[in-house]
Amino acid sequence: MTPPLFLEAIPQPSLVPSAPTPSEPSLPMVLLSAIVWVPAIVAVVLLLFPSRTDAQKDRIRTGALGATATVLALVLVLWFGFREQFQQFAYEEKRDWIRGFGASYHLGVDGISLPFVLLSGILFFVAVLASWRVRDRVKEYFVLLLVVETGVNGVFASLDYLLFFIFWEIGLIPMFFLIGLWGGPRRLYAAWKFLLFTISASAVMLLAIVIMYLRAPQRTFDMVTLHDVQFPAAVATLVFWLFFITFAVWIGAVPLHTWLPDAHVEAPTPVSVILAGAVLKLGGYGLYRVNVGQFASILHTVSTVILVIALISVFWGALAALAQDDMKRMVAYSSVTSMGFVVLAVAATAQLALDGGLLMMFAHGLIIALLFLLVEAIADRTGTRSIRALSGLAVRMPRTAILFSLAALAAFGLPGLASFMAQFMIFVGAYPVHRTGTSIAVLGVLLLTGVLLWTIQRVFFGSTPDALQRVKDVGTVELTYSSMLLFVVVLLGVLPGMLMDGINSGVLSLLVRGGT
Amino acid sequence: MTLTLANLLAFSAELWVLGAALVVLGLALVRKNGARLAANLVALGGLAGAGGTLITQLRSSIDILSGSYLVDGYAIFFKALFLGAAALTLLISFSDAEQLEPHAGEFPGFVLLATLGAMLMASVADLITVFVALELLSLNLYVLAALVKRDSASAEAGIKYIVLGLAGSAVLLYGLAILYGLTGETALSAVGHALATRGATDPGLLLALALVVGGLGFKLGVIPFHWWVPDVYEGAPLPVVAFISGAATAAGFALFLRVMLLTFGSTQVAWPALLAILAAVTMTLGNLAALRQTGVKRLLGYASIAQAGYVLTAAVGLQEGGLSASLFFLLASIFTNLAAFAAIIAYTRIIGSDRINDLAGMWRRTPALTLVMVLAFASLVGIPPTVGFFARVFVFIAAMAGGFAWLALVGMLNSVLSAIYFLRVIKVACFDAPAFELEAPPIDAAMRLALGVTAVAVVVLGAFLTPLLSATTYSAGPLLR
Repeated sequence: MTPPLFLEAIPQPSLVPSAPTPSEPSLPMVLLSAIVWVPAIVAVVLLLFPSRTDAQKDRIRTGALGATATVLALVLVLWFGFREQFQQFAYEEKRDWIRGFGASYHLGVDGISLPFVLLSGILFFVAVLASWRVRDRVKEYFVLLLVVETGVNGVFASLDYLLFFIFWEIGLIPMFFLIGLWGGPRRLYAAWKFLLFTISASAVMLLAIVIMYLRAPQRTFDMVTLHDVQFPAAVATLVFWLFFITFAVWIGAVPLHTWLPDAHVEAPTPVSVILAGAVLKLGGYGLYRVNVGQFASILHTVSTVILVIALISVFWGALAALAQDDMKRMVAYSSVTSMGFVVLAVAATAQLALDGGLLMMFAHGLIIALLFLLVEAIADRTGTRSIRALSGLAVRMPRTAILFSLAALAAFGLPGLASFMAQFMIFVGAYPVHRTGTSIAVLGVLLLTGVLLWTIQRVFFGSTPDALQRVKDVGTVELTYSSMLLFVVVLLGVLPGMLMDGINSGVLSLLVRGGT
Repeated sequence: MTLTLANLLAFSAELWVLGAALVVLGLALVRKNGARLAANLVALGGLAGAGGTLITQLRSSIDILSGSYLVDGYAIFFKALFLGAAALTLLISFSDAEQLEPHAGEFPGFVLLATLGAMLMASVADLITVFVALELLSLNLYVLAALVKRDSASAEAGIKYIVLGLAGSAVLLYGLAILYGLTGETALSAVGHALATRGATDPGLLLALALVVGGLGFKLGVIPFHWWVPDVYEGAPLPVVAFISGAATAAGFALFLRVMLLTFGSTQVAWPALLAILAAVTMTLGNLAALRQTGVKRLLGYASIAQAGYVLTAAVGLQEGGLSASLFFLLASIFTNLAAFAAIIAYTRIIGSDRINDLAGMWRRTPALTLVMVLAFASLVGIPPTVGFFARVFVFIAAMAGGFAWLALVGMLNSVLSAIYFLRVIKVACFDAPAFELEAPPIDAAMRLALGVTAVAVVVLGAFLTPLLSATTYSAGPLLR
């Protein structure tokens, strides 16, 4: 079938690799390193400052905000400077690291990683703003948060498997402490569960990396080099599944998702934002970069299995969301559904679907962040997150009601918003590959729509009970960052080309390299 | 065979240490205030002198006393490690004078003698010198463990250590005797040549292998020969434990790896499989036991048992860079263990307890100390970017390249296990509210130096992997030829 008109607006890069321009003096060559390391450096500096008095705590907060704002500014520079590339990486940095062992300090972005870096830059900035009211152990909180940012950005920027793994691990332990120390009532249980799932997943990934390293004709961890290696089918299948298991844990694919609702619900809300918006996306990014990018041939043979996992995730998430009374838990389960759509795109391994999957992850990152923040705002004002206990909030909290409704509409894909484009592209792209599967998955959208609309109806409409008569609406700061997130969601819905050009070329390179 | 000047020159590093030890033990008789400082300075000077001598021997390969004593890259690598570990141990122990009385003066002397034993262990290549060197180290460690006689825990640790250690020595001695009986040779390489013709199921050979591995296993704290480890870690003075966990274990492995490679390396016996099983059991049971500990010292004891398992894991892939990985792991664990112990020692001095729950409030009272401990624990778990992470990656790669993929997998799962108990301690130390108020006194300069050096090493070594790896590869060379 021909893609609809508006998709034709997306430029198709030619299949012939353009000759690499001899020198690109316009691209500053430490930009990526700065994006990765600025948070960690600021974190170390913040460690030296005391945080006893209120003024000192404010200084710590300002420092953290400054770090994330700097990174956001650098990310925007990166984004504006990015030109669609074919089979090569922008802002590439390569330095010797462990010579003779085949590991190098190799960073670079392409159309696949660029949206993630952008997303992470936005979300960490918002998370620091939303963390302003953390009063307990302020210094430790922001230091850990900044270390997570270094880890997340590092994963998206790494082009060396060893480096990739190191950054992956760097974010994990701080995340454990952020959940376990600043979280809700069941925080310790949630933190340990998170740690057990993710650290076991890391062990599996390390195994996969080492197998690949040992079976490659030359001893190297370089992603670009390894992507061209043709492994024997048995080795490739094994490595494919090891990586898939790791990434499936992170995106919360059923049945490896059980840590996800607990961690998201118990984590303090800014951390839930990071968890759902950026950290979960590590798994999605890994699926694209490794499973699609390197093992596309294996992916074709096991496509049906992946499809089944995707469908189960879509419906499990939506049905579980339907059953929740806790709004935060409902939002967390809805993210299992959204990630299920991404897995569907991976199962199809078709250009259009993969494009959609990437856009989906970007949009979902913003929307889920917005939903968590608004749920927190409601819980903060009313003292409860229970859907049954809430009613008629629209009267007292009109701004929240509007923001939440818009976010929910975006979450299930109202036309004109970014996630609609994404879902549409996934379904259109996946349909020729998996007709039945895609048709079933579309029903998942309906279910999710039902869940979210029903929640809005119960929470914001109806009569306002006396207990809720005195609640206040969201303040200026919350309104600012919520609007900022919403603005990006709408902007991408109207002008998807802003991101899609890069995404498109990235996916194309990935598919060509993967031999599809 | 005569004792020539060339022979003596090969011993010059050891002679520095021996000379310093004798001076220190002499100084211990002087009961004056400055004597202890002087003794420690002499000891450090002796170690520095020995270190300087090592530099002159760096590229040499000396073989004296009919091949029973080798000064090759392998030996020099370990000797440098031992000297560094001994110096750090002295720094850590400096302000423990009161606790070590009335033997505070002798302490540096025994540390030097133990270091001397460790240095000999790195060089010996003969059945007889193997035993002599091992006993020189062991006897001094027994003395050090029981140094604080009025403390019943220290005395008990000393007794357990000596009884079990002597049992281990006896087992080893049987093994060495059988090796001599089988071959009629005492030089390790000659023994290896003579054994190479024997079949894979030769009963004499298997018995010798079992006894040698068992005897040395005692010294290394490998399960099932590990009983002394937790008690000694709990009861002995902590600087001694720091020395045991770093230098003495590394010395044990230096000897173990050389003996295994030279004598059994070219035989048909499936000794890598035996080591693999020992490694898997040691890692897993060590970590499982550590999970249940309530005291930091015992926890570190079981953790160090698990670490011995990692070194064995690397050793099964000897031909595929496994030896180099073992050396790197030992290098990393010396700094990591010393950093961990330095932090624990400094803090237990303040609060007077080593129970995990009593660490609560450590971050509020002494943030720098806590940071060192967190870094050391991260390195023990293998969390990047600490040096322990790289050490583990090299170990896993070596094991898989050697055909022991299952062992690498066990190792990775064990890292997960160790993360659980170390994170529990970190959580208590960093975030729990303290049970009592306490003003932390300042930390003395020697301890601060030790803390700084080890913490920087734990973080920074990962950035200098290229020279470090070429050093370990070079050092592994003499054994693989």
